Amino acid sequence: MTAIFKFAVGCLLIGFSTFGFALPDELQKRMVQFHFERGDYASTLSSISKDEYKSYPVMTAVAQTQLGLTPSFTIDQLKQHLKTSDTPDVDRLRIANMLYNQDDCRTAVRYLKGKAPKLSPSLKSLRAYLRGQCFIELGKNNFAAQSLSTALEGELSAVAYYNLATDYAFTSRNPKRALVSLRVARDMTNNGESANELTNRINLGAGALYLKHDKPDMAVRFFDEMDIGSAYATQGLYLSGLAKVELKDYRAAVQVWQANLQHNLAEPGVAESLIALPNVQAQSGYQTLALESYLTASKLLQQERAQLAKLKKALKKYGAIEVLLRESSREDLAWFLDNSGVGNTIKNGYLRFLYDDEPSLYWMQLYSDMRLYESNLQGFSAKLKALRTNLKAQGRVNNSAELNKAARELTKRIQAARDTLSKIEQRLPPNSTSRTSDTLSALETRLASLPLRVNDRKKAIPEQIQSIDKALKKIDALTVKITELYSRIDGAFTNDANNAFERFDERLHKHYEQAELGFIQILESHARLTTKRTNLLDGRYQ
Amino acid sequence: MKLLAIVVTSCLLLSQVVHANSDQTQNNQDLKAEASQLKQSIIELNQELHALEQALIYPPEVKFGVFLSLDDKTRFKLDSIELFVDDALISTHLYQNSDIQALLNGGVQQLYLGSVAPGQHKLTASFKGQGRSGGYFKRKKSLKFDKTKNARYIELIVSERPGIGEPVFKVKQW
Repeated sequence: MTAIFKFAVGCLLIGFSTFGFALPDELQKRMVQFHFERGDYASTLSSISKDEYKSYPVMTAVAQTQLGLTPSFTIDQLKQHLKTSDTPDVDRLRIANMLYNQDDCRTAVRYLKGKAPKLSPSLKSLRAYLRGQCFIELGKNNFAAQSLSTALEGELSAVAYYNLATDYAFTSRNPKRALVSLRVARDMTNNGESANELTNRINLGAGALYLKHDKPDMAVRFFDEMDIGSAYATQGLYLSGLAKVELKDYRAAVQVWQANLQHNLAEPGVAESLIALPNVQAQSGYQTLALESYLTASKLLQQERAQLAKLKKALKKYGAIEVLLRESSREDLAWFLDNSGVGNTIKNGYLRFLYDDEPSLYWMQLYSDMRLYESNLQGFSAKLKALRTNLKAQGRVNNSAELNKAARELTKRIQAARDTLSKIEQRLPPNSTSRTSDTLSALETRLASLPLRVNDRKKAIPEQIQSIDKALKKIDALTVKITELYSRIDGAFTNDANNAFERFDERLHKHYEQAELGFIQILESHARLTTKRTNLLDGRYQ
Repeated sequence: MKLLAIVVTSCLLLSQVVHANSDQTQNNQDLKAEASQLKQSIIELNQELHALEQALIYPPEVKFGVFLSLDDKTRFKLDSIELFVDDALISTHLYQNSDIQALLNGGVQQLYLGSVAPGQHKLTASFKGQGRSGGYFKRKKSLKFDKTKNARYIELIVSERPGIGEPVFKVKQW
């Protein structure tokens, strides 16, 4: 009875017409724009049907390019669109951005010519950034600097100045320009996690540049400002130690390198610190300490190599996705997830190492994208299945006697409400109940049309269930394809990760040899100092 | 003769390594192209599913949407918003910089899309944020609306009172 009652009320509320649910054009356009401006390109494309692509040619093409898809419009078609666009400056900027991402800076610059006064401050910053980046790519640093001088503020401008500084550092013998750019970049960063990481990166770059140009005192100032929790911290600590050695402050160098050894050897600068440490101890006359440190280094490097061999074996057995990316509960991988010291699992250290390996990073990103798409599809699947169950339940309500009973009950309720109304309306001011009376009349009219609506509804249900089944089939087919793709991604990722670990192993082996050599050298020099040697010239003992 | 054999063997081994590497590169290229194709299919299916969802779950008779936009001249920084229909909480959102930038660049955020029965309802929006002078504001706006047979869309526009810089809600019914 409850189900049939709900169904009758539902039918009163819902007419199930299949048209008229589209958003007004302007609202739809600005909603698409919201997804686009946030950089959520998958949602941008999902909120436009394929037939509507031509209404948003620029946003569609840019979103497709950003997702690594083939754009639906050629540059000429987009150029044509600019003639009729309401926002030509914004569209030009978007096209330039797309071209920049396709490494076509020469054409991109053409779309960034002249002034664009109507752009919002953030888009002006993006424009200055793109112009700057394109000029850097084209080897025109002075134009780039000029473009960036119009940049307002914020992270994007800071990144642009950082990139300019990096380019100056590579192309110019005079470090002044690079350092000035780095200082400007640092002043432009805001607060927030990504801005802090950018500041750390800038400090590392500036410090390294000063160190390279024999200004260790300046370099140390930048390294000291780096956060200890930053992804660049280990590299910063290693370089900071080098700067301190240049300043003849061996004790401080030893301290920072020792601090660096808290981290995983796979992180940049840690293995180097391990070898540099005994070296500087030996230089400063602490031979015994140096010997001990060399021994420790050899031992740690051997342990790391053994661990790496174990990891490579696991990669071969289970594949890189299972070992590195999934939450594995396999017993023979427990060692890999163990906490080692400062809250970092061994796995985290190796993952950070692989982030710096471009091919591995590509597969990790692709896998993560696919997981996101898969979970989105599964979400839809769950929703549609629930809806199908609901529709099937509604379809079973076909007993017209029960339906009539429900309708009679509703009529009784309306009548009761009308009776109550007529009783109280005598005591109320005139016309004060007219609205309630109108509502009751409207309900009566709707109730009268109930049988017709129920029939319409019943007719619509099978068709709706059919569309759901069709959609579910498509979801299942794509899910199978995604699963197949996972296994191929796994193969490629395992291969590239193995190559990266192979290179790391070679580096470790080299460091191991250095450690052994250092150890032997100290022993030899000690032996030379303590052993009486024959003077071959006069045959007497010295 | 021995030397020649060594040279030939080395060349053969080297060519095998080069061949294996080029095979791997080709495989990776194929895989990337396939992944791109699959992404395209998923996005197309997503579009279909969105349309189906709209048609099945939110038919126009009950469809009700609330949207938010920022006046392009406003310097008010939204922190959070809460939406109530007939005093029941239906949606909340915490704003990040990327959201604010997208709104300032002309985007409209869909705060809520759902269903309400035809008839009179009350929509209340409460937002918090930082004004241009750095002061924190909390504002609330309520409006009554009539849900008819057609879908009802309400756009909330956050703007500033001229001169004072205080944030205000404007409402546009579509």
